[in-house]
Amino acid sequence: MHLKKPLIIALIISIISLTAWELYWRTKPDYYKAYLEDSKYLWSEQRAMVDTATSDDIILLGASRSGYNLNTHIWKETQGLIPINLSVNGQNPGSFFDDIVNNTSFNGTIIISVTPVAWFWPKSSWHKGKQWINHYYNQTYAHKLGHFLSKPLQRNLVMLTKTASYNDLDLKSLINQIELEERVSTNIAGGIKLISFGYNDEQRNLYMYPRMTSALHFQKEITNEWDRILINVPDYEDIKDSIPSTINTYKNLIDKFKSRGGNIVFIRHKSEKGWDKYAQKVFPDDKVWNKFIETVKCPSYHYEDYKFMSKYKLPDWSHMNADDAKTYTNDMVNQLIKDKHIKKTTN
Amino acid sequence: MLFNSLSFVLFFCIVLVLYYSKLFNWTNKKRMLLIASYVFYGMWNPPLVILLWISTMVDWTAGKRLAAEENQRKRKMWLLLSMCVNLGFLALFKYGDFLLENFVTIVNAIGIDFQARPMDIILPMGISFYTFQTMSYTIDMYKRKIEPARTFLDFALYVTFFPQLVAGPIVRAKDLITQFYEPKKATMNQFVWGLFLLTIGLFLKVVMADTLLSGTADNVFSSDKLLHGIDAWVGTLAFSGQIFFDFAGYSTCAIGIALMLGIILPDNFRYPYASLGFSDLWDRWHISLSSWLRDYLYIPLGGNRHGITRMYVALMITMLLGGLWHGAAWTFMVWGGLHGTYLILEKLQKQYLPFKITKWNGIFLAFITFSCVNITWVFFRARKFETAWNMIKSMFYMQTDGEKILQSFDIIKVCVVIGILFLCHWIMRNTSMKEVSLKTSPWVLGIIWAVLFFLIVIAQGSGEQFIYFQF
Repeated sequence: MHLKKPLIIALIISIISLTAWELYWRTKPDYYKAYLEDSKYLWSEQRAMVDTATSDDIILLGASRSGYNLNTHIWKETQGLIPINLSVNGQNPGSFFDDIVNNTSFNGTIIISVTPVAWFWPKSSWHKGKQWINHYYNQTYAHKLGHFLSKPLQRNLVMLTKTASYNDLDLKSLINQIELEERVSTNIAGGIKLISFGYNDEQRNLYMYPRMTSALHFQKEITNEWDRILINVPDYEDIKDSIPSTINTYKNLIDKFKSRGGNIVFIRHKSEKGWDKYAQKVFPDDKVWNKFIETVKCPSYHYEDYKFMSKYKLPDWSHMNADDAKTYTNDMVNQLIKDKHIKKTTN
Repeated sequence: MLFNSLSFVLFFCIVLVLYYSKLFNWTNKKRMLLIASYVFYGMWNPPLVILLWISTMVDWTAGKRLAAEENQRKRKMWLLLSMCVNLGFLALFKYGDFLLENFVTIVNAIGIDFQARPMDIILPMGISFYTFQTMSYTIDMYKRKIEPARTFLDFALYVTFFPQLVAGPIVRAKDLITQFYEPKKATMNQFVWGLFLLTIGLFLKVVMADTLLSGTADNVFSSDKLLHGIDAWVGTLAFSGQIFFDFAGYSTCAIGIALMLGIILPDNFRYPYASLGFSDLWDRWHISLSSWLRDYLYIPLGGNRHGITRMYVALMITMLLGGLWHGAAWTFMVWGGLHGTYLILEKLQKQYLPFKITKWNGIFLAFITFSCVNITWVFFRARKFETAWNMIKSMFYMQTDGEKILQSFDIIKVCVVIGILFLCHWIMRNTSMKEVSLKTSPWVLGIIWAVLFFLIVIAQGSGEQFIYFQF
């Protein structure tokens, strides 16, 4: 058996087909670009910094609004220190807060961006975040080496786009885009088909694709999906019994963190009416957010109380575009400095 | 380190460069392979390499003494020492919590109030594989079936050889150690065929198991609801395919990688889902484990030499322990027990209701065998009895109003993949990939190879662990 010929044929076809595949996806810059994607590996690099952080340091926690609206580079320009960015797109930050309080001795400042439909769900919604935390504690040298080796590939190849979005380019996502008649309703959170509308840098800041600001139909792609999914959030009356226990869990963590000298500031970033109507349906501010802030006794910033927080138009109803995020971060940091929650440093 | 990871690609490239460079003589090449094997294992959890060292030292010493010692009592003691250390590691690391949990249950059942904290000991990757491999060496030495390894290096490399260290095939000393005695170098054809096997193995794991089937299997088996019959069957079929592709994928990678170094490892799978009955299944599924269990458990328990009843008992014990080898849970025992029952029923059928297998009834028999195997996978995959029992009830429509959780597309995808898998196994059951490739034009082979590689790349495997690593 002579296998040289099949090997050469396979090599040539593989090179041609993979090049064509890469070039094809490069023709769609509105949706795809090559960058080191956020993942449990990149998150773990930031999480490792917590173990050596001092009381001067700042940690950002939150879901996607923290990622899109607060930019750590601008934060550094304004305050002088780059915060540790532990925000995680699409996940309840509760598990990450719990990790910092219970598994570290960090006693600096934590800025928690609260998206009510993420933050106020019961502790059972922490499981996804725990997977990342477990990865941080259990990652092997092989994992670290693998991630290190994947970086140049991810930075340069568009075809490696894999961001947990509906339109990812890995084979599983591509296959799952084939749609047949629905047997089970997909109008539930698990069936979310959200097309990627942003990308991240290596400090895990999120940036909205320019297409989202430039054309209404791109915005509609996202807001229609919010409408389809969020319409199913339960009414406050159906879940109100779980809220006191959730608030109590956070209060215990906050008290523990404060007792060792830590500071916490909560931020409620803006959401447009289209989104907010669903958030108010399940977690009305007067019954949940206000009660929470009153219980935990932490400084807080609500977008309705500050003009600089509410002046932007959010293309997808929930997040800021990249340019707005820069001025917003600058204003937010200055406000925090003014209110003496953080100090301007000269570093 | 996982075969389906970039770290392994780099690691293996370095190994190949060093192995085929003229820097080292054969002894130093073996030393390099040994160090590489420790690195391969240690990249996961470095301290656990110590277990490998202890296992290696104990069995090397025991083997040497067994070769030199004439006193039967002393020989027995050396064998016992080796067994105690190897099985002791397994008992502590793999079955510690299971034994403790059952001890607490029994003690509580007799009225003593006793609680124990789980030990939560980390399970060393592949411990069941390398302990069985080293045990086979000392047992064969005790029975004087093999010569002792010529050097410690040869033996250490036999225990640790990275392609098959963590998930087999479980290779016998006579088949592997002897290959280390003379310099080995893959021929060009062997090297390229090894690369082809590595591609096939990665395709089975990354594309077939992880991309096409794992999601459906995970959805179904992680559901705490009583499922609709179709969902239960499709989830089970998905797992059936996933575990085959995952494990056969690993074995194929291991064989390919070893072949690229000029080392030949035995086949571990021979199209098992086209088996004609259960004896046939165990000649085709995880062959290196089933032959290990046959030679070191079933035959010593009496095998078929002491009458029918004893044979059935030996068969059942072997399969129950085979189940327990896979994991420390009663669900694995049930899995083994079901296979034991199938084997006994098959022997009874052959005795009292014999029939000739023709090409017409063959595929039907293979389908029946495959269906019965699927029922056992429910117990293998479910973490709790409750889940398994709910699945079985759903599969046999013993409850109505089961919940639908799978989309039409998932059902079609799984049925098509499993259907093709079954037919491929049926077509290939009396041949081999090598024979087929010999009859295939180089162009077709090259195109198939390119398609497989393309799909592996775009699948972008996230480095999912192989299922059998946990065993």
